[in-house]
Amino acid sequence: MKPCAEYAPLIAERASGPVDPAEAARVARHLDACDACRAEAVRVGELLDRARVPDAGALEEREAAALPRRLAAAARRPLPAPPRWALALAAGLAVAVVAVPVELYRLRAAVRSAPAVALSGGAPRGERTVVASSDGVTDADALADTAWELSNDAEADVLDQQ
Amino acid sequence: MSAAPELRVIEGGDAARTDEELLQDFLGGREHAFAELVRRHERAVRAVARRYVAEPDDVLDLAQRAFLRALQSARRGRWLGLGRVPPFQALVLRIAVNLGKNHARDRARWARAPVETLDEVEVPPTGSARLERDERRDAVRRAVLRLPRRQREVLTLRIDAELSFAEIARVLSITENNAKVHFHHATRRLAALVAQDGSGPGGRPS
Repeated sequence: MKPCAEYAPLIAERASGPVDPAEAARVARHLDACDACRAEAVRVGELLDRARVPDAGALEEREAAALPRRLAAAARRPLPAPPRWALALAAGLAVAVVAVPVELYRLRAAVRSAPAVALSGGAPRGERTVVASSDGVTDADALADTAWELSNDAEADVLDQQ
Repeated sequence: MSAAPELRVIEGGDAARTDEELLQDFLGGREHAFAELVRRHERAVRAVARRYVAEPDDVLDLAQRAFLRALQSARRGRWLGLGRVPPFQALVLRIAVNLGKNHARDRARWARAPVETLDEVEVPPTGSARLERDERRDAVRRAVLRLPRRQREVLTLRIDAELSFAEIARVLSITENNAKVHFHHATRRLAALVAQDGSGPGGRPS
């Protein structure tokens, strides 16, 4: 006889340890009335009992009593220092994280402004319109310089190809 | 910059404090706090360890490593300002399970039948009922290790570490309902494995 599908999982949960008291009471009421589920409860109870790890022996228990004190002492010690190569790698990554976006931003702004310079036919540097943030004149001028240099490089490339 | 952890004294001593409070206390300089954390969870951690290792020294060694690694993880999580550091119980049990699995795997590299070997110590050729019962018990325990990973983890956390399904869910980062479903599958699969081996109730080990 098969146990009731609705109760089979609950029977196993109850056999394995504490469950919600209301649920346990519901299962108990059902077991009183159902032979198949009662047999299932015995079977799964035996199975889980056999599956459990053995209790700790006297030796393990004795040693385990010192575990909290021993571990608290070990935990007081500071973490081992990371190896030098790890520190160097971390420093390199930190620099890269800051430097790469800044450099990319500069290059992008420079490339955006480069065609305008080429079309303008080399207008005086101070009059160029540069797409830049409103950080201040100094940044805008620096970007304009970069753009101007890039446009010169581009012209040089074209001349080389000819 | 984050402020230094605030130390508070609560009536009832360490026993009344949550794991997180104890951890905070320890990181703030109260050394007893970690001892209380260990006292709280060492039984469950050792039970998980016994599933994978047989010698008492190995069990204790695995438990110690699990606690120290859990502490390291918690410290690191705080230093890095990670908002979602798992609860200490989940951390230490998860690490214990992983260390146990690694131990079993390493033994498998050195011996052909790693986990089984210890259980298969010389059994005297006698037909006593007690010996047969012990053999059947060993066979069922070995069958637990043949369950699929998640089912085995849920089953052992339930019957060895004696956790509730809500606690198991936290340890394994799954839902409580999922933990129950895995447990149900684990018991059915275990029964099938045992029946296949003939080591079930009344049966003989293969």
